[in-house]
Amino acid sequence: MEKKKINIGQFYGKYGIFIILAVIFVVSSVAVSGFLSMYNIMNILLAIACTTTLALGATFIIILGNINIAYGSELAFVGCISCIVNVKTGSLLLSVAVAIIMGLALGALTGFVITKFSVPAFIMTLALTEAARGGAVLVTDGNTISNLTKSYTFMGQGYVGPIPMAIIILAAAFVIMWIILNKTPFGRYIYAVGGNSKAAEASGIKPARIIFIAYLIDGVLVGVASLLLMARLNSGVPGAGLTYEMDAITAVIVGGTSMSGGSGTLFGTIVGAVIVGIINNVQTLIGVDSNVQRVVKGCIIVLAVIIDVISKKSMKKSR
Amino acid sequence: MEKSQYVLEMKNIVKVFPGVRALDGVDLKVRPGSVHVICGENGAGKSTLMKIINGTYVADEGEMFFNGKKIGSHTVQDTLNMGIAMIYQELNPVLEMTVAENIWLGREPKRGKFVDYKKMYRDTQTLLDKLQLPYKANQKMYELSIAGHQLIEIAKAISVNASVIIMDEPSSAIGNEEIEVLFKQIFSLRDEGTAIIYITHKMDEIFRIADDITIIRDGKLVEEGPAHCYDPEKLISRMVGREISNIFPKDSTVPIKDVIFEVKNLTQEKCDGGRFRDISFQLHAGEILGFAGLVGAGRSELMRAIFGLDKYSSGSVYIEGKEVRIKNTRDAINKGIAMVNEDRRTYGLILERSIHDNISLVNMKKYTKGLINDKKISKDTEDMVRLLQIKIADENVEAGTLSGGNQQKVVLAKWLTGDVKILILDEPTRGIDVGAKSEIHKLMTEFARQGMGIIMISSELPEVLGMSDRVIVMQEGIIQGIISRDEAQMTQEGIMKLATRGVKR
Repeated sequence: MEKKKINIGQFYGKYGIFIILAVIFVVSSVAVSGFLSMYNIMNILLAIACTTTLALGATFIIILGNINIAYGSELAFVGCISCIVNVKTGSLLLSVAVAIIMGLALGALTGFVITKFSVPAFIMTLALTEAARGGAVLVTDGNTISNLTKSYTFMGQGYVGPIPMAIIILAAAFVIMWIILNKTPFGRYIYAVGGNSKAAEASGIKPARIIFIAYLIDGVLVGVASLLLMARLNSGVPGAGLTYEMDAITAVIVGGTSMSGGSGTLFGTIVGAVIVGIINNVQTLIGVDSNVQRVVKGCIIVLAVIIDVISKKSMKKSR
Repeated sequence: MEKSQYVLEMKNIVKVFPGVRALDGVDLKVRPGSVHVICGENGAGKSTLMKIINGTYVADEGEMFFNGKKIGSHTVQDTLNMGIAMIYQELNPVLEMTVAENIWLGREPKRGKFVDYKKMYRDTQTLLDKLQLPYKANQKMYELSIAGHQLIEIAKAISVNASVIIMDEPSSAIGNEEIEVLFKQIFSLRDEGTAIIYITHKMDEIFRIADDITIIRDGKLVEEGPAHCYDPEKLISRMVGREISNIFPKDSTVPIKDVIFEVKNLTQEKCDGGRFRDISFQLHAGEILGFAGLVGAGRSELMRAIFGLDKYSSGSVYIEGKEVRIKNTRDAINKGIAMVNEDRRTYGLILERSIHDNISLVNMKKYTKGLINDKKISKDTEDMVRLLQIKIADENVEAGTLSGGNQQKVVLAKWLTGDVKILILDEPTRGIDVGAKSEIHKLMTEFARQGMGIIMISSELPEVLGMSDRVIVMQEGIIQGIISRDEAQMTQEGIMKLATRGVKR
């Protein structure tokens, strides 16, 4: 029998993130007044709803060893078009459909260029960051789109009982994404391609196809997230969503998904998003300057990657 | 102390890698102004010995003398400074840099703190002209052919005033005319007193250039002597005869049935890789068809193309008499072909995923009705673990943590979850402990009995002889011969003769 070894690296890989969340939560509850209330907890969740929706798609992309850094601009572009449709037609269904179709289209474009022409994902989505932001200003003529229907803004502001609608939408997206990743062949193939693309191909999987589909799904989530963002802002803002890719990617990395691909979980991503959300919330509650908060966020990302690398190394050693 | 008559002398070199004794007391004596050819089968230990000489590896035992002086532990840089240069089998030139920059990489002539480009290009051009090489010092490396890269490597070796130049199969990637240019350089270097250590498998080359020959087998010195004491027959008989126990020969009572798979005139043109041409053969159900040849003969590349991992340019493939066109691995799998690659860590397994995930990867459809039925996978995994006697704690163990033998069994299990008609095994027992080796041999007989046609690439001749009903011998991309079990040629010598015959281009 080959012995099963447990070491700190593996232990961290499995449970570390939950322990960190628990510690942060307990410390915040005790030390920060105003933290532990239903109102504040909902506030935290509401604040992270949009970026966490993006982070679900980003988890797929990053497990594949790819990246998308264009979320912020994509949100603005897709969201503004959807707002224009909403104002022009007054139809919730149409505006939602347009958001999702536009998100899909951006995902398809990204996936196509990356897989067909072997353009590095970083470069493609860097270019898209610029192009989509320009597109958002073009379609709106640089104006804010106001007078959204009530049904539209409900997605970002409404409550069902005590629970914000945005959280319900996020939860639904999470469940669907979890099923895709864990219970469908496509999900297994994501891990396979991200872990070892050559072995995946030798097992009859077409890596390019998997990557393309992952970007499509990522695009759908961009569509959903753009609805949450614009609904919350009460209007279509072409400059909205700046640096949202930061928060999405941070959540994924803090959640333990490896930037080199092959491993990661959606639970991890959710926990990562909540950790980052709590840290932001606490800093705001105790009055930390917003620019200091950005410095802290930068440090968190690097720290998370360092921990990832160290835990991977100690895992390799145990082999 | 009298001056040694040898420029380089290795005494009783031992090198142990985990699990194998790669070198076991090898001696080597190289005279100045001679071409010294090292012969041996794949895996005999030739490259390991060269890497010990040049400092890539450190020997566990033994001594090295250079110009009669004992050399202690040394790095690659030390040996280069001493005047021993090595030209590797796989060259890694910096293609975007110029010829001169490549020659002087890491030891650029300086003026103060800065690189003295003027001197560098002037010296390089002088060197190239002296060697009568048709290149310009400021040419980019990518403009040169592979033979050109070889010749630049030689120029580099000369530029450090090397008194010993090691060449590891320099002719494997270049054409006949280019070989002539290479030989011309070798001869003129030799005449100027440089010693050349030359590794090759090609008989015609050996007898054209060798002054001395050293033969290694299984990490041991077989014999050494001047080249004129040998002829190809004698040389081959000394090279072969590796003894590997734990071969579990194929049961000869397994019935061999109809042709299950056939390839006609399969060719890969240069644009697709150019690794094989005009390949035709048949495979019967119940048969184990061995593919023998030296490393680089194109066997793996041929199989990769058949399996859809690489492209082939022309020719046709038939399964059970019907012509099929395989465009990718999925096509191949759907038509009943499975391939176990030689590098299982790269092509066989997703190392950070569990046994459970790896085994189900190929035939995921079978386990999916809407959603994946993990219980069904677990049941199949359990069956496979029992059938193949895979030793694991449980199915959630990461594949990367297993031993080589168990990893290989997991790869086999992955294929056996589906309906395999043609099983391609590329070096199925490489790097596997002896126990697991014979278990895999037993399984191969079992699969053949069930009616599979098995193609086995192996570089271990005893394995080829023990397992194969017929053996196809390849060299440099073509089939040199097909030998059946009952033919007199079915010996290690017979196979080696075909594998080293020399190809007319």
